Amino acid sequence: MTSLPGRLYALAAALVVFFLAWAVVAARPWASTKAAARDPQLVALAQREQRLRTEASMVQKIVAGRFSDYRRRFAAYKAAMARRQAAIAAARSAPVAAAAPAYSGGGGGVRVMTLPPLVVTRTS
Amino acid sequence: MTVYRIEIDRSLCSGFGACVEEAADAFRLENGVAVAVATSTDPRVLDAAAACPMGAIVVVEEQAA
Amino acid sequence: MRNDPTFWLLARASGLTSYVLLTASVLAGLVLKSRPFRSLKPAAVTDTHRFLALLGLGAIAIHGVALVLDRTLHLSPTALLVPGASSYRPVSVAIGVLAAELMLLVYVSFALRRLIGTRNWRRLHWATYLIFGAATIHGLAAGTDTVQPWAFGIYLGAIGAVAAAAVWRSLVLPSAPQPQRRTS
Repeated sequence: MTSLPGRLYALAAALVVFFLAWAVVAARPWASTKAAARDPQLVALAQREQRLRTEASMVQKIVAGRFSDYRRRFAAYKAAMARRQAAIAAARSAPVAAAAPAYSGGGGGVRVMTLPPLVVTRTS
Repeated sequence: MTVYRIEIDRSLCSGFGACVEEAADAFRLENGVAVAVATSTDPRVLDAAAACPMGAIVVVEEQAA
Repeated sequence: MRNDPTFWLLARASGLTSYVLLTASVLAGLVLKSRPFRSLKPAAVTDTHRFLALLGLGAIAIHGVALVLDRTLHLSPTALLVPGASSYRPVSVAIGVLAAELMLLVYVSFALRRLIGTRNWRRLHWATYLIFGAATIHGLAAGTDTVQPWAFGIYLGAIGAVAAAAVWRSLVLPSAPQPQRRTS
């Protein structure tokens, strides 16, 4: 004699037990972070990540240092270049002014100006 | 007085003996299977039919003419 | 994680489910004779007892297939059928394999009652105690979740319930014939 209610109850109970067991086994509420850290793959991965981070920060510091050095030297070079060009401009305009009265006066020679020595100051 | 006619399905009977426990006057075990009297007026045969784990017993009520 | 844990989780869940179903079937079978609830018709209990056993066998099948398909243990299909062929905890797994095969045998024996004779069928049915014991040992020894308190509680509860029901059944005396017809 088949008992349909009995079978339905049995099937329902079996499904409930099955999914409950699956959920509990999958959720793993008892897993602690310590247990996860003991996994050697995860530990090695974390160590590698840490090494890469420190290396990256070191490289960034070195690069930043070199680039700041380059920027300082370039700024000093630009300053010296500006000064030199100003001196050239001044030297060009001055002999013209001096030579004009010489030509008009007719007598003295061409006044020769010596430029100050070109000095590039390194501040680093 | 109601008369009960008893039929046992021998393909289902497995010799549990629950029927004998309920109505020993009407049922007995022979060679591991139950045999019953053909008719009985004892209403306990209905309990015996309900108690059979295999549902092998059929009891038919017959009114005495 | 490199490996997809789906089959591993499925194997554990189905194993626990099959154990619970086996326990329920055994309890239903024990209740059949002692009848603690008179309102339950024995024929209905018999059918439920058989259906629970069938569901348990289905869960065991899922358990075995999931274990073979999973990458964690690298079990071969041979290990499912041959006791001792497993590379993982061979003894515990062998006990489980034997329990499952015996359970299948007992289930099929019901349909073959005519062939083997009713008396022999009833004698074979005593092996269900052995099946339950072997399944419990397999779960405790080979089960991955056994260390968890909830899983261990399931095993203890099952053992306790089956033991109590078995004691109850062994103490059942033939009921005295009632003079009046009971309304049922």
